[in-house]
Amino acid sequence: MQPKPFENQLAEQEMACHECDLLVSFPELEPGSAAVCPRCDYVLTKRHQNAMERLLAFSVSGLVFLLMSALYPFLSFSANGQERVVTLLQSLDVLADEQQVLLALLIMVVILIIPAAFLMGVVYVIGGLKYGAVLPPYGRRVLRFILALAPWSMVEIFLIGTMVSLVKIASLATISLGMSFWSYIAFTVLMTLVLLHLDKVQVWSWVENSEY
Amino acid sequence: MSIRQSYSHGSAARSGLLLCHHCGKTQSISEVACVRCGTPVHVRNANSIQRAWAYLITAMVLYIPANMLPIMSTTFLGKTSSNTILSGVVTLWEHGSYPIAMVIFIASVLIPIGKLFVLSWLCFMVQHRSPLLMRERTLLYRITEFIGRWSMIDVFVVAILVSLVHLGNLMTIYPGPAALSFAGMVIATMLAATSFDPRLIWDNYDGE
Ligand SMILES: [Zn+2]
Ligand SMILES: [Zn+2]
Repeated sequence: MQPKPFENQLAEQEMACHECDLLVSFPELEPGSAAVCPRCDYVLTKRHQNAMERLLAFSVSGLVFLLMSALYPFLSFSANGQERVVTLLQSLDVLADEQQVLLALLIMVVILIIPAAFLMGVVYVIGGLKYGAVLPPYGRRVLRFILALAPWSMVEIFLIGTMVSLVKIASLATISLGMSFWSYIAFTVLMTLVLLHLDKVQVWSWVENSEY
Repeated sequence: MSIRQSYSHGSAARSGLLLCHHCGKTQSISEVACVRCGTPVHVRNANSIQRAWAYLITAMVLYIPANMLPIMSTTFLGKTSSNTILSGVVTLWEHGSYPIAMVIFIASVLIPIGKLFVLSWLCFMVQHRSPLLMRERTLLYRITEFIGRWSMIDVFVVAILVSLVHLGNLMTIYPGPAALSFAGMVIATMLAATSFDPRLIWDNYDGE
């Protein structure tokens, strides 16, 4: 029998709650609305306006800002005529020189590598679905990988940590904020927007529908 | 299917269905790998409570060096002084940096301790099949899961200060061994929160 075009959507309307396992039925969701579990208030799934276009725009520009923040000077610190300018990678290098290689690696992974891999994965999968109309090679594997990575991105926490450090030493020296610092702020905003617009249930239903 | 009777009324498990945690596809309880995305699926996370306890105990053990050892030391005009997390907060407070002292205190002391207590309590309640405060426990779990990562703030502060304040004898900040233990503790509590399956809270729900 030929699969009916609305079959997937119908199946999608009955869903078990992720946090309390209540079986919830909900009508077809309009963009901008969400389905919420009546027993525990968990947001089951959210639909966003122009989700694909937005995800692509935010991810591509996020990657550009991330690249800029890796290349340009991050902060500079001067006191008593001595000045010190560091890039993000140099600052991790200093940490590694102080016998804290593991810590430096851990920080690099959660503030640069995971977010970069995540955004590249979003561009690859969503870009393929949007412009190629099919799931690109290894699409499922990439999607599973990046969705598992997402909770380990600590971009926004690093930014707050940086600001706390600046306040802490503001009285000791003159600090100037480099191009990389501003780029990292823009990157943090874009990364947050991507995470807000990426609904697992929706992305996987795009993948499923692309195969019919 | 008597085994299904151990799940709450209205639950997917009782209807012979399970949810793929990864992609949100609801499917037959007999599946071992998700029919849509291929991730292994379970009616409830395998050994959820045992794994959560293992990570919690790891976190509690790491919490000791994280608080006893210095997190960073400062050399200023040739003199070196070390600070633990708590003595750092006290120093900041004494210098009048109240907002920063509060941020570090909440992120590095209050949140980790709170998280260890909350997760231990959640595990305990599930092990005792408690039907009490299910909504509240779910909410508490959600908050704990969301807030836990923010404890990493202090680790990042140390990293930034160490890399920036590096002017020889004039003024230099060195990282202490507590920074890595503390980061390990945060990661262990995050893993504990992920291992804990909140659906277990609701399995003893007897309402309709
Ligand atoms: Zn629920
Ligand atoms: Zn799945």
